[in-house]
Amino acid sequence: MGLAIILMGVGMAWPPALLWGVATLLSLPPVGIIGAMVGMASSRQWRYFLLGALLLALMGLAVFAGFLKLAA
Amino acid sequence: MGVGGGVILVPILTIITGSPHQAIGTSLVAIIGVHGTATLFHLREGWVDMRTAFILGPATVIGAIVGAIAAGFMPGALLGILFACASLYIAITMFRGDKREKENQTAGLVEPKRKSWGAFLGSLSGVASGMLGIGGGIMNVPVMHLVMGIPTKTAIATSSFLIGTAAGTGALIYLMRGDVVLQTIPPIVIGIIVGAAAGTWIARRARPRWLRIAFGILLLYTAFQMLWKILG
Repeated sequence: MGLAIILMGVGMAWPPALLWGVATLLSLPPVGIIGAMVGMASSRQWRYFLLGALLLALMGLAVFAGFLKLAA
Repeated sequence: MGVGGGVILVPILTIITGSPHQAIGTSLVAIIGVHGTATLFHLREGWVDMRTAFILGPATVIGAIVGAIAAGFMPGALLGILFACASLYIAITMFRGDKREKENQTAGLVEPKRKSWGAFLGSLSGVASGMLGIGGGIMNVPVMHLVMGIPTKTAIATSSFLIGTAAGTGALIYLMRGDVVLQTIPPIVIGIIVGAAAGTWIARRARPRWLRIAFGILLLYTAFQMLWKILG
């Protein structure tokens, strides 16, 4: 989060850093999900681990839908 | 007030950019900043129930994808009218008050009940998030607390995580469609973090009832200004 804010702050003067800042911000939810999945795996809660994997896959689907520029 | 920034941000950004689509896309990116910070705090306190988050998450994210894609097909005026209806509903909720204020707020991990029903309702909050750029906490928290039997504080913390995930999903679609004004994000995110700290300070000192009424009036005013800009 701190890194995203710093990059976006730099991006106000140097635009390429702005995109990296936004990309870092967008990566926060998947990183959180992966962290929680590691916790589920270590406590052997495989059902919730798989639900986390499904959640990640669906976020990947959003990237795919975005690439297709649906409803552009 | 426990309501994400989107409900205020979208009308203001619509007035600035003139495009509800860009306002919603930009708001979704900013919401990740708000709820990312809140989730980190809640995780440290141990209030986030990741099992409930993973049960509701896939349905919420599917809803966000459907909402974000559907918004691309809708004219700006229709989005503005839908947003105004959502603002009106939230303002009425603010005026009427929240029962959660009166009851003893608790946190704790319990086995969620009625999971399928909760997931279905969670998907609707995802649609609202992806389509209108609002967080969806106003729907998520009652669903988790009243339908699934999750303690209030845990429901609020888990909702924060879910909102960040749904907003992240919707934001990706808006970003790739070119509906995010990148230059406005740094001042908004920094402003939101400063504003959240100021809001906490004010909330500790002001009467909750007056705060709710003031926020409800602000909501109605910004929604009216947005409609005036789009339709006028």
